[in-house]
Amino acid sequence: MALSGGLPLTSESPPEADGRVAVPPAPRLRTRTFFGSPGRRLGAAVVILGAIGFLVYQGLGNATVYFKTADQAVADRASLGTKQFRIEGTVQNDVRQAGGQTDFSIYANRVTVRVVDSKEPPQLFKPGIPVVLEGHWSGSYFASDLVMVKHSASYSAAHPDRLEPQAPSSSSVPAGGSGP
Amino acid sequence: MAVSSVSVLPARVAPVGAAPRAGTGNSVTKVLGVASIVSLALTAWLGLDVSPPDVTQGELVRLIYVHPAAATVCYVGFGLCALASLAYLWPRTRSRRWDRLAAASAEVGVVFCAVTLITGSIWGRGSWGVWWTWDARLTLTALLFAVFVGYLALRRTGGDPEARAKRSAVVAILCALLVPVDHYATSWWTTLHQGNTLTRANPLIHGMQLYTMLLSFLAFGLLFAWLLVHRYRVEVLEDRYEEEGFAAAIAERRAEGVPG
Repeated sequence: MALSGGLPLTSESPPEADGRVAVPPAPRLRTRTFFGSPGRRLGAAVVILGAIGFLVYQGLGNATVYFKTADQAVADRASLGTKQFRIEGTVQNDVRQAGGQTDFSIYANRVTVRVVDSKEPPQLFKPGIPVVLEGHWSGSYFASDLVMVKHSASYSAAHPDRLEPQAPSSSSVPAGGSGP
Repeated sequence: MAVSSVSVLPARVAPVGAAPRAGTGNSVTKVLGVASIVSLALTAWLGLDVSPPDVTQGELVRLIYVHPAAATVCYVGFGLCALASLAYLWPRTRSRRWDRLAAASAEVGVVFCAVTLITGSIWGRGSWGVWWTWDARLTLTALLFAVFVGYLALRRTGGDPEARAKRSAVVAILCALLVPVDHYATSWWTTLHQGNTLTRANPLIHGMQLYTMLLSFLAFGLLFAWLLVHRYRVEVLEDRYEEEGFAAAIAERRAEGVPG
């Protein structure tokens, strides 16, 4: 009769003095798990290590220097060339949308950069809010293909009679020049 | 021989020939469960109906009553896993109960880490404009999730229970080193993710928003404790299954050796 553990019994076991059949010691029962076989263990290890390796690679490549502020990007302009990178700054009060493009300026540490964005900005995009843009230098402006809003850690209840804070007005400073 | 007929436990954990109380609940878990559900319902009501929208984020701010609490509880789970693992490795405190606690807290922590990643992604799509980006906080949280899933897989590799518990404990402590790095990522590196709102001298949230957020931490903490107790007791039942199943199998086998 089969046991729960599937243990084989032999009928050739010699009888003992009292008539009982000697039974060899039973092997320990093992709980069968999905990762019970070496092949599956190796497969799981490869998948997990691969995932971790990918995350570490992505992390080392992107996370530690996630963006350059507008002033840093202007300072590093020569070395950046037309390479893709992220730039951070606060949107000025000069947002214009036309022909599927959004034209605006950002500033950081008294440096202003003109931006032309080719995609639709996110819903929280507005003057006075910090943004991180992905794109590259293109002549006198930063050509952005992704706008991400970088909201602060501060929260305030919205009141119907609250006045919206005014963003600094746009200056006539050329792209990459000193801002207000 | 009736393996299944004597089972009053769930199929996976049923010992043969024994019928001890097999559930994972008692009066404490009932209280914890009710308290979790009530506090979660209260958080939902305050968060969705009573607390005001945010001046910048509008209605999106309501995710602050889920996401930070889930992330904090996830940290607690992984931290508890590391402490229990340390207690298991320490010869004076070595006990199977610490290994069970490490397993249970890691598993519940992984669940809350998944909730953190999902709610964060939804919040990011609404506020930042993207579902995902590789900044330090997000990358490290994803890494934390991956390494603890790996830890749980390691626990399922079988073999000698004591050796498995030891190697799992070492891996848990190594994995948990990521927790403080993840927490301070927004301070140490430039990130798209915002910095800390509460853990500073002057919190950057006030009034009903603050009270609702604090309540969400309490609600998620209770939920974590509730799940943890149940999961720990499942570990106990699994151990009992292995021990009693082994003893019962030997007894059955010897009984089958008796002729007639």
